[in-house]
Amino acid sequence: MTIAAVVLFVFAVTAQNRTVSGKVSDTKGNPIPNASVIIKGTSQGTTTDNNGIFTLSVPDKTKTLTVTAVGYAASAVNVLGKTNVVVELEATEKNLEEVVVVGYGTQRKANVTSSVAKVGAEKVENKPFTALDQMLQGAAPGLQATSSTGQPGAVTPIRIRGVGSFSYSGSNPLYVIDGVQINSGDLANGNGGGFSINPSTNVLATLNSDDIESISVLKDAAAISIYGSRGANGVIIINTKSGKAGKTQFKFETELGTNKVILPPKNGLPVRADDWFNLLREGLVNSGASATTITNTLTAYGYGNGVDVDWFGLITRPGAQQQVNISATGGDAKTKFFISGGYFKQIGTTIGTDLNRYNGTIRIAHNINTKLSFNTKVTVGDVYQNSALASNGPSGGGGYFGNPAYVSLVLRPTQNPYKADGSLNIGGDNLSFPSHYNPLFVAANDKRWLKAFSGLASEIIEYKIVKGLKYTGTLGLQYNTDEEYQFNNPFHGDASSSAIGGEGISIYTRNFLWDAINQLDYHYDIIKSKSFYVDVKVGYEAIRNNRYQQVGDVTNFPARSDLVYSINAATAVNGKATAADYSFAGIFSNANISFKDKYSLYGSFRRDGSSRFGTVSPYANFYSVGASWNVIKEEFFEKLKIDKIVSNLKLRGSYGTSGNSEIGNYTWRPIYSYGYNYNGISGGTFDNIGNTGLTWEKNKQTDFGIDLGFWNGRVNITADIYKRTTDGSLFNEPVSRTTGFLSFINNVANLENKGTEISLNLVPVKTKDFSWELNFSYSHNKNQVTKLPNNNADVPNGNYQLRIGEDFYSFYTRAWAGVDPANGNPLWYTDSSKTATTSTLGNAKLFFVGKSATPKYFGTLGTTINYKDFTLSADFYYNYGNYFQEAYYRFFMDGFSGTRGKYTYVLTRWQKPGDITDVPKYVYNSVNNSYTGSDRLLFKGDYIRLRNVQIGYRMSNKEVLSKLHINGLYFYARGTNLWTHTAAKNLLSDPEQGILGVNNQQVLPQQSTTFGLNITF
Amino acid sequence: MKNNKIKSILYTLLAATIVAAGPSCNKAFLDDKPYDAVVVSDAIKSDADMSTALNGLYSSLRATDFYGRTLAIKGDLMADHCFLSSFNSGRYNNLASYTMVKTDAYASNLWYNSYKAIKNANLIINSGVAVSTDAISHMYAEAYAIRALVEFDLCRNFAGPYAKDPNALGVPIVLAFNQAALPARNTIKEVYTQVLADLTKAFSLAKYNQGESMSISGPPITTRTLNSSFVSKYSIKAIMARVYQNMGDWANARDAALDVINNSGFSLVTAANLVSYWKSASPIMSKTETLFEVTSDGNNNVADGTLAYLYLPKIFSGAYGDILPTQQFYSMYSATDVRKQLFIDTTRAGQLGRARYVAKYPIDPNYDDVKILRLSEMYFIAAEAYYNLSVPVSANIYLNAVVSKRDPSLIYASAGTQILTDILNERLKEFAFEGYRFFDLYRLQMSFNKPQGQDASNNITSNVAVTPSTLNVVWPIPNDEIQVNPNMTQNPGY
Repeated sequence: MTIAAVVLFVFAVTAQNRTVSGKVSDTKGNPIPNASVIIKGTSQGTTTDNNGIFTLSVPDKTKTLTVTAVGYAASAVNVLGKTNVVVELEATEKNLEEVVVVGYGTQRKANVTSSVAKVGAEKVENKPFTALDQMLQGAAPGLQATSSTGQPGAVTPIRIRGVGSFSYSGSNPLYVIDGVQINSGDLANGNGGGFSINPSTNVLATLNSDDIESISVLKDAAAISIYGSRGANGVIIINTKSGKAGKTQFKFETELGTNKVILPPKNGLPVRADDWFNLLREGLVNSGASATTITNTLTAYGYGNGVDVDWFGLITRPGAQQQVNISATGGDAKTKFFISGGYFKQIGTTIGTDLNRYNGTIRIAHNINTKLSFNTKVTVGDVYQNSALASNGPSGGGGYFGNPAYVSLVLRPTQNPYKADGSLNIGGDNLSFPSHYNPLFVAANDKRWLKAFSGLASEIIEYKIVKGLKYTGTLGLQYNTDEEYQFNNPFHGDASSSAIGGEGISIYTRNFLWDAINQLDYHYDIIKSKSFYVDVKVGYEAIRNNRYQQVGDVTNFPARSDLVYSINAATAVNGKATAADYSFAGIFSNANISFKDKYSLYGSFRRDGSSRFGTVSPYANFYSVGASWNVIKEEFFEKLKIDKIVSNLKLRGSYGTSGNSEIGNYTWRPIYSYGYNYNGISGGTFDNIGNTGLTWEKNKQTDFGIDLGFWNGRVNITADIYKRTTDGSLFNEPVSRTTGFLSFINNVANLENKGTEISLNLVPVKTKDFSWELNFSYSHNKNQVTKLPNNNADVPNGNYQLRIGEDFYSFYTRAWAGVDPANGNPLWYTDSSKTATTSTLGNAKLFFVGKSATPKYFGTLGTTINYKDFTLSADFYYNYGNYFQEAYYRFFMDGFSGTRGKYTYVLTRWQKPGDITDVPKYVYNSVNNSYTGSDRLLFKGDYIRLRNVQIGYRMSNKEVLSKLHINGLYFYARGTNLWTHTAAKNLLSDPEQGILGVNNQQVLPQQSTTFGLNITF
Repeated sequence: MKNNKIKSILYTLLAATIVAAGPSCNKAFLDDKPYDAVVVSDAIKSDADMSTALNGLYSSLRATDFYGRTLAIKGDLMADHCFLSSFNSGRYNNLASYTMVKTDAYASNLWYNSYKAIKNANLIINSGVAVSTDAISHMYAEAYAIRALVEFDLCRNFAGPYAKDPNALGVPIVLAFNQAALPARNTIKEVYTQVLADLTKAFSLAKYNQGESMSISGPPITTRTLNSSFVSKYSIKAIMARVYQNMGDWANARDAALDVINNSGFSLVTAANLVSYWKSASPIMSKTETLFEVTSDGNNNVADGTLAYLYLPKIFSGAYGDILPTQQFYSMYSATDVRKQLFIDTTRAGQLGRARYVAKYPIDPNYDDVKILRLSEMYFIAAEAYYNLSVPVSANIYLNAVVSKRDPSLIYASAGTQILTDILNERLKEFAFEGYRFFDLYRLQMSFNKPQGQDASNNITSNVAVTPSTLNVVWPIPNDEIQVNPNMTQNPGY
């Protein structure tokens, strides 16, 4: 870094003067660019460069330089007789030094007018989660992340500020990594390929979270509007680590641990053999069976054979967790680098589930000269994942006859998984596996894997054209391949019939995306001394994605389980290839005017076009305005002399529009498609009504926020209130089915979300050796449907119904009225008045039962205690006010499907007149519908979970460290999901069941205990 | 100067980037066309296009909740001769127990799949392709015939029997695609009138019998041969016979059935060939028995949503084996009746007593075809028509013509109403598990007991008593249709 300075020094020197050079940094050693360095008592001076370096020619006898920078206390530096100085500036106010990553750049937090939540690297480093989206639960107020499966590598759906769109996949936020608007989620199956294989793919599971520098969650219009057509449901910007100049520093991180399954609560565990036979006998008696029939049936199911199987015990196992990361960073003023390599392994707690990942990153930043620089980043990730037989997605899991979580409930405790010789039992009689499969055999002999490769590259050129004007060219590439393979063995399971003889399904999916951005940034100091400046940005962006998919399906394998590839099979039943594209093109601009850090005004504009919209209006304009007022900087406020108490007071407000374009690539087109073949000959049909007038779903959002700090930052509060309206939502407008269609896509429905977000940070104790910090966040969102097609007529929506004024996920069903104490019959309320009951399901009306899958509020509670070198922290996540449905309830409750396993909860059944219970009389194979179609299947989703607890030791003894030849050492023990408290006592499963609030018997969740060691040297 | 060089390189790069981005600004950049579809208005312009569209139409009949499975399942499971095994996969429970509600998914899907097929037929019928060749003429006939068949089946599932009240509400008649249409229900009589008009038109346009070929213009010129999975000339007449039978128009039913029997060149399958006839899973051209069936193959099928998978358990190459014939029904077959071989008499895990699996659909790697029209039915229609037209001798002749090819020991010579009883019993035995029985009971407005299970001694454990007015005899108009379409009237009781 000094070479350039020396060169400059040589040219700049004059006879009478001498040169002083130096570096200005903050107290943490981070360079401060644009700091002003003035010879005291004069107006002569200079500013520091990006690396905080300055060189200044001073008269020989100069004693003192004054160094100032926005947000820092001024410092006087004695330079008498010195040629090189190091200047450390102390931040005047904690928040002011912070820079926040926003769309297409960064902004100083002091001047941010919008609602942006920053998630630091420490929140995502070394977490025992397979994918970044899992780590975002509780990371920011207003962000709801709720998983419904414990499958390693599964997608965790995220909603920011409520459900903003009518389609499930269309409500996801946009992910931007290092400036590139990436493809996220499940690129293989969830993206309209028409084929389904079980492993779930997740782009974010291919990333190494240790490579992440920061995550910004953009929530309000002023923040998201610059992303125009794609930002409406929030934007999550991920910036990866870049090199830091200085001596090369290595970091070694390793973590090891164990995972343990979180079993359903006792009520939801299957009954064991004695209870099961009691139920069977009682059910048969109640069904009027003869004594002979009862005896025969009991015998047929193995009464007295002594078999008593704990199925959940057999399909789960102790899991394991391991990760290793090595990184190095260093460089000089001209070239900086960051390289890293990582390995992550998780062995799931359900048999047949695991994930292995390898990652590598190279980042090189090089300044060719003071004006021109390049920044290159390449990240690759390779995932190898094995999945349980359960499908992915919002309604995944399900009734696969080999799905371990499902069949553990289906199978009777009297079915012996093993034969007398110890081999797996796959026979076809009552005591083995006539229809549902032995999950142990399926897990041991079937394959369900995913090999995913992800490559992310971005090339950024920066050219400082003139002072204050900068050009940035970005070319981002995202390349993903997902190779999925499923082998169903020919002996036992889904492909065991003699006609099929084993099946191999292979799906190869490739996505290639490019994102090109040309951008000009202009900084103009209107009145420099008053920090009155304007930042202007204009840019052009074009994005195109091409997706290609190949599917092969073969049957008739040789009679063995070890040759799994399709090459070994005899009959090809499918071999197809298809492709799909999408494109976006847009121009964007924003401007931020700031005066003395007191007032900031922000405005943005974007005009976007997309291939996903009709010929009438493929383009649309989006804009936003925002303002902030740092009250504390006002003279009148300073006169109050309460700065010892109030350390920060900032008001923010914004309004703007943004769009959503997450629909099928060709949904707007009225099309006649092929592939509807018959007799081996090509066939076609008119299969999409389309809508050539289709355009953007528009989101309008108003946000007011306040940032408050007290006692020099010991108490910090950020609060926001917002209102989001979605106009002309992309909606599948139902048509009469007599048209031969269910619906067509149209901009016809509106949604509204109103909410409050509060985050609170307290430092009750802070001494040299001891500090105690508390965090609390609260998010409340109220969602309602505000417009529907067809004169606002109700629209059925699966378990829910769309109605004006109701929450999007309001359950629409019949109301369960309990059990008739006189005869044990099920009762339902006949209608919403809940005045009369009936024991016939068909006589009960459907209505809104006042229960929704949307939580009323959720948030986090965290605490951190530091004592000397020790740290203890705990983070809780809470969720309140939602309900979820047990989708497979019918099979495990009551006497319907009387030969399946039953929930322990059934033991509280009605047995004699006068019994007060919620479980009807147990009648073998009863079809009275007691087990279906009502809010009896809905359970309270309230819970609080100890998401993370950690104790760590950071070595600070410099002597010991230097003896070990290292710079730092940190050791920790961490527990994840160790404790959960639910409000409802009657739950049959874990209460975290995804955005849709449905338990589809997916892979059970897990808890982890891990130990880690980080060394820097 | 070095710096200048770098600058000039940079400016060139910059310019190049911006220029490269330039084309992205125009509309062509955003015009991403699909890889598997064309614009609807361009779809059907020639005879070759018609042939492709017809394949699309036929393939839409294959859906599970349509001819593929549910229609046939309903015709048996809601009738009096079978029950849902106590150990079942959870499918069709509400049909077996007569507890279907207005939100029932089977009803909803059947309605939707039916109108989807009608939409596909209408696209061909309204394509405007000039009838310049016999091939084009016949392809129009196929579309008309399928539209008629589907409309007819819609009406007997979602409306009451014609014989009960032809002026009661039927189903909407849809003759052209209109996205905004919210049709009201036509009367049953109007539906039947339209069905017969379509069939008459179809028969007049039809040019080819099963096994015959037509030439489709090229390039290259191709040949389209009508095997049993396509509508040939006499299958249209056969549908007509069935329609007249449902109307109780016996003279016309007789004439249509006799036209097929006497003029089509089709022959009944013999006793010796019956089992192999059912085992063959490919369409035929031999004019033996099958007038029309819906075919599936290894590449185009509804996966496990077939009859075979439902009727047979895993050990017999099916999947579920949920639906079992009653002891009483099974014993209707004498030991010499070749049809008895279409059942597997065994036991079933989870089911007390015997399990007689339906083996009419021996699963094949190409998946089974679903037979829609068989020549035997024409003989039964003729017999029933002669009975109703008071020609008992002829009734017995046509009945015995089929029966003799199934059970050589069996000859009917009854008189009076016993003839009808004989015909219905033999229809049950002949068409068991092809979806006929319920529709006979419905058409003739008969009351019966629906068995709910069998015990260890093969005795029926309980029954649901069904009368012509029992809820579920007429299925509910799907609730999702009612909610969208204010002109739609729900059936009574839902």
